[in-house]
Amino acid sequence: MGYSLSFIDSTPPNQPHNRPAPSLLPTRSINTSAKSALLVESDESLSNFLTRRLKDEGYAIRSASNSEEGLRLYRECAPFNVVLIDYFVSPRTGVGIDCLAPQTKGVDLALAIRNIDPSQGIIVAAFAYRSAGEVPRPPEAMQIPLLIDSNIHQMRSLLERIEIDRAIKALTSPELLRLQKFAKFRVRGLGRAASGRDWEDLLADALHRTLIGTEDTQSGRHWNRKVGFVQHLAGVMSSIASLWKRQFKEKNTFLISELSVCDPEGQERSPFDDVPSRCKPADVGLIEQIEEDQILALLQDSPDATHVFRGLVDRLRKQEIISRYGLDEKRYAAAVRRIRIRLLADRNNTRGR
Amino acid sequence: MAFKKTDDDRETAMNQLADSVLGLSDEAIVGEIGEAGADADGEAERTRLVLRRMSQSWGLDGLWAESDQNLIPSQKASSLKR
Repeated sequence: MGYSLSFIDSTPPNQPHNRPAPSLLPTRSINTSAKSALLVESDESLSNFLTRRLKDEGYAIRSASNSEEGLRLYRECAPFNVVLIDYFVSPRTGVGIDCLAPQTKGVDLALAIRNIDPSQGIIVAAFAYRSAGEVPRPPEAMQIPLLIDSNIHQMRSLLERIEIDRAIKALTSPELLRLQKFAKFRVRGLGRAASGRDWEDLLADALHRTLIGTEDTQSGRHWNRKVGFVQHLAGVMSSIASLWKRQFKEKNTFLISELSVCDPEGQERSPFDDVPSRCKPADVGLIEQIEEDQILALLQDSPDATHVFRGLVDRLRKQEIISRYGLDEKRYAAAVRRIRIRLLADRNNTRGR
Repeated sequence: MAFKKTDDDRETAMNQLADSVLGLSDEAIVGEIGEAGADADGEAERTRLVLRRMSQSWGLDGLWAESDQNLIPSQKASSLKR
């Protein structure tokens, strides 16, 4: 196998390596840190440079100077938030880099670690190349992110992407359900402004913008780690829903000059000249009325739920609704719960929304 | 009183319902999904898939290889059923 390391192949997974027992026990303490990184780098100056960068990003670091030591440390201390490996790392202590031989030890180590834990976040640093396309890699290593540029922005972006990926995997079922329901209500609130989009579009777009935010905080949404991931995605979904609404309104808004036409006598006429009132178009009014009727029909067996929904649509606050309809906290909460369940059940019976 | 409101009014109401979801306990959210006639585990997995697909499109595929096996039993929605 062209990309294997002999010491990797000879050591059974999860077994202590043959090297002398390391003097620095207990190694696992690093994983009590909020963020941990394993750095595998043979070049001392590069190691110092990358260590500084990782520390600046808040990582506690364990370092190895060759891939053999890196694998040993990984087996002893994994998992790490991220493993950063130099593409040109030497295979073991005392072995220099053979400039004539293909240099793949960094990638080999990355694949060996992937083999142990396919979900481990790994970055391979390949500063000698100008682009990812130039870096020789086997097909199975094509998805491992490459650090090409030594400036802090690319490293920060890759680290953030790995943290986002970890956050997604860590989401529990109730958290996923919260995100789904949140997205469903936001989309239902958009009505026609959703323009055929559903909750999946909204949630996917929120993550998309978050991933863009790892590279460009202007057009994307940076995830501030002080905020929980669910809360962050909910906030982004709210922003996107508002944006869709604005876009819908702008798309359906025209300048009078855009609509004006000239009659045969050369007189400029607006199509609104013949509109008798400020009433909304009949079809729009009808759609809104149908939606209202549907919601009220869903709630008809519960006067409390009907009252609370009316109060919410009237933009009343919780205490105002309670006061207006003579409810108490318990009845209010039960009514809101009933509304959520009924609306959700309604959508469960209609495809795609 | 006639109950006839605008899109904006209804949007406000739906947004409040959306916000109320974020404050629900784990047991409450799973319970409501079940009462609405949906399978909580299935819906959670469907949601994870939406996120996963987007993440994969950003070249993080390899990181997902064993995520399903990594799901610990305590995270399963069905274990929270009332």
